[in-house]
Amino acid sequence: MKRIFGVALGVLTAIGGFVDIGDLVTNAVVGSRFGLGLAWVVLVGVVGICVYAQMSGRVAAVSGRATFEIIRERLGPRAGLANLAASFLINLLTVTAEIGGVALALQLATSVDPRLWVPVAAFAVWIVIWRVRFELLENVTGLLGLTLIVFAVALFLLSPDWGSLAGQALQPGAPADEAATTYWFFAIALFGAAMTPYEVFFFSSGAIEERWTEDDLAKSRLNVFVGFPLGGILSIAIAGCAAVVLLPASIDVTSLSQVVLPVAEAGGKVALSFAIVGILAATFGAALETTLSSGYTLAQYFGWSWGKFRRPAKAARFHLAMIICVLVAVAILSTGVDPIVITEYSVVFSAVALPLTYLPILIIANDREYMGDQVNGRGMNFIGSVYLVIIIAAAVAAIPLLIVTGAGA
Amino acid sequence: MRAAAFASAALLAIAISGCSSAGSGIEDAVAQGIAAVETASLAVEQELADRTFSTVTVTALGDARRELVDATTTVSETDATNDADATLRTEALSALALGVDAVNDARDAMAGLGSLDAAELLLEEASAALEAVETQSGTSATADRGGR
Repeated sequence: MKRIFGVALGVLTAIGGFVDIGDLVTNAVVGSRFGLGLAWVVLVGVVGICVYAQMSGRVAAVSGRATFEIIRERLGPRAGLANLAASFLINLLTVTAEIGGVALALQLATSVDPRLWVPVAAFAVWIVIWRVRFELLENVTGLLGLTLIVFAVALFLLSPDWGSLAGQALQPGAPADEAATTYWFFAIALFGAAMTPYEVFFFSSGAIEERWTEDDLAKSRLNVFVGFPLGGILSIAIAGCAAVVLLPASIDVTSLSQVVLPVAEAGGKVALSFAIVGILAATFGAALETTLSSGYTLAQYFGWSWGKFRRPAKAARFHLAMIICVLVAVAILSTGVDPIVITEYSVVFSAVALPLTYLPILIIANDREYMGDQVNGRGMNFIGSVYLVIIIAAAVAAIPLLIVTGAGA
Repeated sequence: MRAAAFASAALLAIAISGCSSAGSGIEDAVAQGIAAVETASLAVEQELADRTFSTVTVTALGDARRELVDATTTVSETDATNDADATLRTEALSALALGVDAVNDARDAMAGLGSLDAAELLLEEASAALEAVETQSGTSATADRGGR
């Protein structure tokens, strides 16, 4: 019974923890401009993150060692450092976006200027990381994030023309008033939002925190292959709500307050309460995960003592690195830069940096020295290689499309 | 050498495609204004129907005003290249100003000054004015391209 509860909790946490500020904003932006014309990208992204997370979770569980520790050992210090630099900078950008997202969610609940909430949000992130056990912070934010299911409920309550939505999803392409370059720019942004590297570092480092062994691989697969796809459905529901309410009104999403308008339209104050709690939990949970991921990547590469299972005094540099990351995020947000803009750039740069973090995992997952009999099978290698091609294509196209489209303006 | 020339050509192409005419800049800003006014209208409508919290309405109105001010700045800083562009700029600024006034009225009403119903009507007027400018800018852009 305890085991079933553990598995169910893991799956629910994976669903609730799947959506972050990048998914919220990008899906709403895309829904308000392209309807469900880019829903296929969410599908591609969800399969991609499943492949990526499953490989890295397996590497951590089988080898009992952290991702970056192995990357440095297997690829050498130079390649490892390039990998670290890309991952860390994207993480830092994402930490900033998530803390900004928490501030924006608190603004929705209070109408107080988000700049005043930024230090509060940052302090809350730090104190939770400092004091709260790993399982507790993961489970509470994941379970509260489940309230985002209200977007799926809202979509049904809006009684949309399902045929039209299905038509948009099944016949993808740029609408007449949007350029093809803009369509592909947002396709890459959506892909980057679904395949954010921090999710994988958090997942694989979490495997070490929770002392996974080969016996836990089945549980890991369930979390990934059930939890993430169901989380992907939430992403599509967010885009669907925007497609039904905002697209016909010519409202392009540029702020978080617009994302919740369809929910209020569908379910009034009750539904709106769930949406605000869900957004707060999703952004706060992701802020914790990205901050931890920043500490994980640095500590694992440089060989510092790390982990929430150690007292902060025993992993001082790990905790100090995270404190500095949070302070840098606060400094960036204090300049008055719009967290939504940071989010939009962070998902695109996630796509740019993805090959640097994905390729080493693919290589190590095929290395018998680390993995023994648990190396990738043929099927996994085939899918893994297809995704390598997709990831490289997205990374190469991202910056030119960013410039040509003026960041999708 | 060839690779360098290709890279330079590609960069030049990207830079050129990033440039846009005055008309399209105004058109984009007007579309931004329409989105902001429609957002404000939806938020006010939900507030009047008691479907939302005042905190969300106030936030949505604040965000809409920021977008309108941003669009106004964009249009103000656009250089006209002909008489049609200059007229379009004047009309766009006037319609955007209507939008800013309407959103300010709605925010004032949320603070207890004035009526939200009146603000809703003003938002409708602003939306109509902006849509008229959008239609006009579309016509001007077609004329600029020789009616094609």
